Amino acid sequence: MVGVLVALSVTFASSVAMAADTTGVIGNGSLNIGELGAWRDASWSNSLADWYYTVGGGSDSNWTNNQYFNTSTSPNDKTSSVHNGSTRAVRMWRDAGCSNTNMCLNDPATGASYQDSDLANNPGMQDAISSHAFLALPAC
Amino acid sequence: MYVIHSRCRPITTLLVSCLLFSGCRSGGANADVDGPSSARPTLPGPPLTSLMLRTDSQEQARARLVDEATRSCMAHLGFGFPERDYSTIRSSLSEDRPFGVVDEAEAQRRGYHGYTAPTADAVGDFLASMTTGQQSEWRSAYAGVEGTGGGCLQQSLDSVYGDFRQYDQTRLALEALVNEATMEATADERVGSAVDRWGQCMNEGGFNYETPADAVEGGYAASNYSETPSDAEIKQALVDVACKHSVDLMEVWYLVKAQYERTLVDENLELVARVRNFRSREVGEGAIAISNEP
Repeated sequence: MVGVLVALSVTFASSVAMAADTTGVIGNGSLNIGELGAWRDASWSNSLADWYYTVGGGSDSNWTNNQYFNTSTSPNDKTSSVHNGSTRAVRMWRDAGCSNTNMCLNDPATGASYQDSDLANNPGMQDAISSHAFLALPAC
Repeated sequence: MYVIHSRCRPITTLLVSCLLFSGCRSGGANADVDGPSSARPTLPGPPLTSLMLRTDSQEQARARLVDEATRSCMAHLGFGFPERDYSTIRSSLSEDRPFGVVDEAEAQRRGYHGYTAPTADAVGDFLASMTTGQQSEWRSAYAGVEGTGGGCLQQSLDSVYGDFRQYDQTRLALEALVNEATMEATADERVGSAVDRWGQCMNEGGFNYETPADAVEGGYAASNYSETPSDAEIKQALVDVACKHSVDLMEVWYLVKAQYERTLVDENLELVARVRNFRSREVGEGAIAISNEP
């Protein structure tokens, strides 16, 4: 049976998505369909940085030079919860350059593990993520 | 107890030898995420990490299986599903990368810069010719209820894994164990000692960093955080790789990490067996088993 597509805007505020980081400021302060979101606090709260998947883009191998929307704070080593709303799986690493401990979130269409409300439960990832990459496939 | 033989060859000697011979050892178990799998020399991988890694060809086989099942499901509902070039698919985790770049060719090609995003989007191209309404109908058939699944993608994943959610929970448990072993190995004094020797080697090469992670950050800064590595970043990355080999950092790393992982394997035999079963399904063995069931 075919279900009904429920837009992520039900859960997260919706507005026009911006392209991947080019200026050091990430996203537009709202998580839109097709984006990876990283929040300062657990349960997807406090400041948000979001990256929009595009063909050949949207991945970021160093979060240092980015900032949460409307802040001067980098999400690097400060993220406590994440949500993947893209049509790709996304892998995140503890260190820049896609290295060290890592974790992977599925495309929500898989129905499994597309978000993590509290990275404290994930060894080596709490307040630690520094890079991510959108993957070729929807499942980890 | 392991005996670790350390030697710190002069950095200039090592750099020259790396330039003369292409066989500078890789710390990875297989391929770089955007490079060919077969060209890289290997070290024996720790047991849990090896279970987590996929080669490019394994990832391509899994994609083919999932796509075939998805195409069949979508056709049953009256929708098409695109073909794609599987040879372009790279594994997201084809090697263990604890300290950034460990391969000279990779350092030369892109410094510390990591994964290159996929440049093909067969589904996106397929949808581009549809109206917004057609895309919505197609997406509903493919994805079901967003975040809950129930569409053709989840059904196809279930057909490959038997139960995708069960696979996913197993995969998450494995990732957590591997990360736990990584954290323990990173804090191990044997690795710490090798990192200290690496730092001395880097200093002799003109770079002052306490840890390889610091060097990665320094490399990006040398490129002003550009999307492409500068000559300065590449130069540093080449010295970095040479130093890692000079002090046998990766050999020490894999020896220590394997020790922690073997303990975790002994404590999680059932999980390991489940992972192996799911891995066999990813290359078609599960599908065969299902089709033979009465």
